[in-house]
Amino acid sequence: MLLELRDVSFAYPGGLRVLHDVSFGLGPGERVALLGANGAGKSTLLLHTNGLLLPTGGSVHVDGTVLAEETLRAARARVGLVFQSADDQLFLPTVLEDVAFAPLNAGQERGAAEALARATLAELGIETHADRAAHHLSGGERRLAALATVLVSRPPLLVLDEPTGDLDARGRSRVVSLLRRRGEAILLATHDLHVAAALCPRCLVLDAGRLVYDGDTSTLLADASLLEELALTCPL
Amino acid sequence: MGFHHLDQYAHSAGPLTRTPPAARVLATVLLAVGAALLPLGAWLQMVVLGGLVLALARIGHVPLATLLARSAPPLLLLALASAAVLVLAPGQVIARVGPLAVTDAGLERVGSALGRGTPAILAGVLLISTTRFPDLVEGLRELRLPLVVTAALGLAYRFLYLLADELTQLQRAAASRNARAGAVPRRRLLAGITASALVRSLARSERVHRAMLARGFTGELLSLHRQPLDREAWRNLGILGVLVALVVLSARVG
Repeated sequence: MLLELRDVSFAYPGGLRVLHDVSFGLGPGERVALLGANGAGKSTLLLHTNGLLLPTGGSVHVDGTVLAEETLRAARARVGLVFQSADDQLFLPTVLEDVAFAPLNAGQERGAAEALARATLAELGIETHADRAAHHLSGGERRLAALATVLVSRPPLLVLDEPTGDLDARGRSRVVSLLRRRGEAILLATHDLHVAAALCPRCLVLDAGRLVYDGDTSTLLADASLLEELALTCPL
Repeated sequence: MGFHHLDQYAHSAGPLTRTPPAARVLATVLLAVGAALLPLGAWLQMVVLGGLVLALARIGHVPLATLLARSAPPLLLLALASAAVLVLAPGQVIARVGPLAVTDAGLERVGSALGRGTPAILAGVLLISTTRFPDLVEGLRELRLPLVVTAALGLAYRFLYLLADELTQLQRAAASRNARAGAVPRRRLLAGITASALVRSLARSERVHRAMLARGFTGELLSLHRQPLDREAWRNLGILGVLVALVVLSARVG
């Protein structure tokens, strides 16, 4: 298993318990959607996949290694996490520097890191924005640039938090078709069931921090009563 | 977001923009220090230093009008800050403005402050007009400024825009709900908006730190571009240093 959560529970320091005994696994190349209402614990769960939060109960395994302080560096090279807001992801003066940030931190030489960053930007069709500041880009371009900051490291698992949240229909389909072409495993948190259906054969549903569904996306979307029960809206 | 007016850099393909940023920073410091070392009343040398900066601006293809327009606000500030010396410095009274007496010593000091400040301000404006902010930070890094300073500057540049964006959003939200006109309600509103923006910024900084950690950040902000000081840059700096030293010495010795 590329990623495995075993009975993961998490409570914030104030005592608010957000995740309750969540268990699931994700294999290489698998694409899984993570669904649930606001406050269900999706973002908190995603932060566990990269070790940004460590569980207060249970364990998270990346490539069979349990996540702990001493294994974080290796795990973060295997799990590429794209945050909900592209503005949180892009913090350097230019897009190129932002995309080269991870390779540089991984110990790549400057020239190699720049070449990798430029190749990744070209792959996403935004190479002309390399030397621009993030605040000079449109929302869609910023989203693609944020994606590039993670794709550049070629992690075998992409974890995406609402990757199409602020995009129009064209931007959404651009991101979906881009992700479909790729071979990495994907764990994608979204409210957009269209995106989940287009991209992920399997889905997980969180409800108040508990995993209440783990199965086929098509089966879930075909069952109106189940969708209603899980507080999800069927796509038209 | 559209706070592009915060960017003062105007791209030109002049020789100055090809010089390593660290050399441009050093040249600015040289000119500013040279101006500060000029004694009171060294009018000719002040003009020569100012002319030197204008000559550099010409080499850098920075239009004179742009340079002067950008220098005007700090020059005005300098004039206002030093205006009180006109009447405070003891000396022979040369004019009276109501109950205030302008002295010859006061006039000389204010004139000298402006005369020394002008080349320094022009040099600073020339620096930011020919250097992108990221390059400026890189130049400071090349000059071995502490990492924490250059990292903070680099991040501040990026977050200035986000903070401005947060403020605009909050102002729009207030305006859309018919925020009351009048000085007191406006001040209260501004205080509330500023507080909210700061709280939001703190939350954002936490999220950004997470994003950095997620991509392997270990505390050192590594840079992609390095433009070290080369032999040509050192030679040019040497020439400039000699010129500035000659101007200062001529004022001090003469």
